[in-house]
Amino acid sequence: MSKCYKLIKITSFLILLSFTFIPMAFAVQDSESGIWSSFQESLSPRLDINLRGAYYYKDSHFKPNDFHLSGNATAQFTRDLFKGIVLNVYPRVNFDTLYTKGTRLLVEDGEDRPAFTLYEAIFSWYGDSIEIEVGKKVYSWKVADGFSPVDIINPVDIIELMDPEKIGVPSISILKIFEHANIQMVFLPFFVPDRQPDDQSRWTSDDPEGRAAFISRFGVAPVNVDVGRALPKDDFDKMAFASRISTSTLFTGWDLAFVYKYGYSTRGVIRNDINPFTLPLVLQTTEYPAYNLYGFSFSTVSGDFEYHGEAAFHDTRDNVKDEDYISYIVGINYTNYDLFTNYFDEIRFVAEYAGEDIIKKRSAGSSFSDLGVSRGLTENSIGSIEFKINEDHSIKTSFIYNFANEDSMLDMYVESQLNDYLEIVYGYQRLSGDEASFLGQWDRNDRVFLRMSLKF
Amino acid sequence: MFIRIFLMIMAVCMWVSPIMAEELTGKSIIEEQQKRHQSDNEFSDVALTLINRKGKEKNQNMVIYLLKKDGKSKTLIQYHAPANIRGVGLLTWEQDKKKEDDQWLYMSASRSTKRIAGGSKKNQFMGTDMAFEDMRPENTDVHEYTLIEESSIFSKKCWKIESIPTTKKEIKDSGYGKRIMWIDQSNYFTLKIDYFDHHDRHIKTSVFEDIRPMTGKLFRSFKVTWSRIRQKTHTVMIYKKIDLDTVHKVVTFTQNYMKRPVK
Repeated sequence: MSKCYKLIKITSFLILLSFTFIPMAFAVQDSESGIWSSFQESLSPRLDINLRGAYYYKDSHFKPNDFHLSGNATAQFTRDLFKGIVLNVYPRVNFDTLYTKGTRLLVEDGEDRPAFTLYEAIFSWYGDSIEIEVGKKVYSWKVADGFSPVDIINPVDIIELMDPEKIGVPSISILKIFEHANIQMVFLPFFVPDRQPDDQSRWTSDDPEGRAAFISRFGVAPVNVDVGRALPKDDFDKMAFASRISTSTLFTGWDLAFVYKYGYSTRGVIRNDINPFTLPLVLQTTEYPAYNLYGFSFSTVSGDFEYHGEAAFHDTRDNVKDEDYISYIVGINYTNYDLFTNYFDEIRFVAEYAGEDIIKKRSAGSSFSDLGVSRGLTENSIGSIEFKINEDHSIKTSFIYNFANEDSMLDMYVESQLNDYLEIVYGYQRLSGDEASFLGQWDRNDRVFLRMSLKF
Repeated sequence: MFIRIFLMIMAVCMWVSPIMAEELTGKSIIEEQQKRHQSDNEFSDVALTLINRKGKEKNQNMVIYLLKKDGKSKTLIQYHAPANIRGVGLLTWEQDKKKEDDQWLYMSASRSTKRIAGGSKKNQFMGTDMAFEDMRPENTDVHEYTLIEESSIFSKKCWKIESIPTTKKEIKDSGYGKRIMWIDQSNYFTLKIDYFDHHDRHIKTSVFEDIRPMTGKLFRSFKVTWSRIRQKTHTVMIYKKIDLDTVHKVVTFTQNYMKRPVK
């Protein structure tokens, strides 16, 4: 009976899309006047609607919810104010069947995804050699494709671990442009942590390593109790700060960047309070240790290949709570236009290697451990192959493989731009490996998925 | 009467002799063309219509900024419509002849900027019938130009010139083994180009129409049609505006500028 119900839900979702979403996209395309004509001149409005549906066809260890639907609608308004100041506002409505709650406009430090928020809201002033941006913003400092150790300003929503999305942060950014380099300084007065998977969701982590260590020590499996989060106080003297020096002209043909950050770990670590009288209960509090980060990235091309790399040294201020480590990634991009030209316009290859070296472990006897969703890319190859059939359709496969633990993730999907407004992505994702490994712990989360994106 | 005829002949000879004194070659024509029609600053607002083999049309809108400084050009192309590619940008910095040009592609959806390898310049740009290399300034150092004949096209007297890449690098990177250009004798403006691949197959044609004088001897085409022969597809570019007077700031041709929200 439950399987029939799931089938009815999926079928209803597809019918709903067929009678509303898709015809709306084609209707807008064919319309001559459009629905935004009265606002365009003053506010330059835009609208993006994203919908994600996933069917997990295996039961998980936790509360199963085999079909999950989520999405968001983000508007954009741009207004020239005075003295060259521009205001860009992106109000967003989030919706899903499980996690969305409440309203948080500027500081999204709640555990739940807000139903209504400002994705970004930025006052910008652009001069000839200086740019100032104040407000809630999403930054991008990455050069790699799969994973970025230096893209460290924004926290990430990983409620659905395989569909991560950056969270905007209130900030003040000053970019100074020199002849051969740019310097960007970002001040972050409010701490915003990552949004973690719910402890009863498919993506919650069992922390395989910690679990094994506990069993080894006490001879019994732990029963973890989530006590909550200990967020850093938003004091002025604890403001986070990040800076980036970048150049594309100092060495012709090379993009180089140096990154520094002082702040608090947005992912956090777990403090495990174990009382021998209440075993196997483990009271777990998420804390966010302070750290310095020193990073470097490069990108260059030679012939038909693009080469890139990033590395960052994470220097924790209190080694009781967290480790010091270097994480890095190197990779190449190559696009071929001569293979199977009867079928494909181009075939694009991306191959990367991501690794991590621990410089200093936690102090002996530390009661802290990593979140199970942290730092899984320790010795991994990451790659993708995209077969571009034409400008509107492509087939893509991407993978992550860990050499040490032999756990892996494989994605295969099709991207189709149906018209100027509507794109759909549909495919299949498989996770495999030992249950004690980073990706293998979620091997019950294989899924088929469909994403739709409507842009006006 | 004989004196009048003599004086007329002398006048004609005096008018013609400077041109005849300098031998007309393919390269000299192209160089004169560049001298006349290159601009140090340029802004274009372009409406594109992409027509597939079934006749179905897709419309796009982009702006093109050009700045020439110290003998090298910088170009920024930004899409303003349709919504799915709004904000996508291509930034090109021309480098010395022996070096690869710097090119970056900004994807607005992911807010990421990637360097593009040089081997991609023969690839079609954003689904149009233009290749990346079609949007770069003519590089006379890596091509050989041969004046084939005087010809006529679109009722205009032209020079028909063949252009062949000469360096190993250009032969490898370019999608064209040969181009045949028709250049208007009255204003040195290109009216049509046929493109041939490295097997001497005719693969593409571009036609330049609605040619208008701008300043001095400088002309611009306000309608360009690109057609790929085998695919039977066309791209029509209508230039809604061309501005050669505004001096662009260097900051416009940076990766940071591409990241600014597009209205």
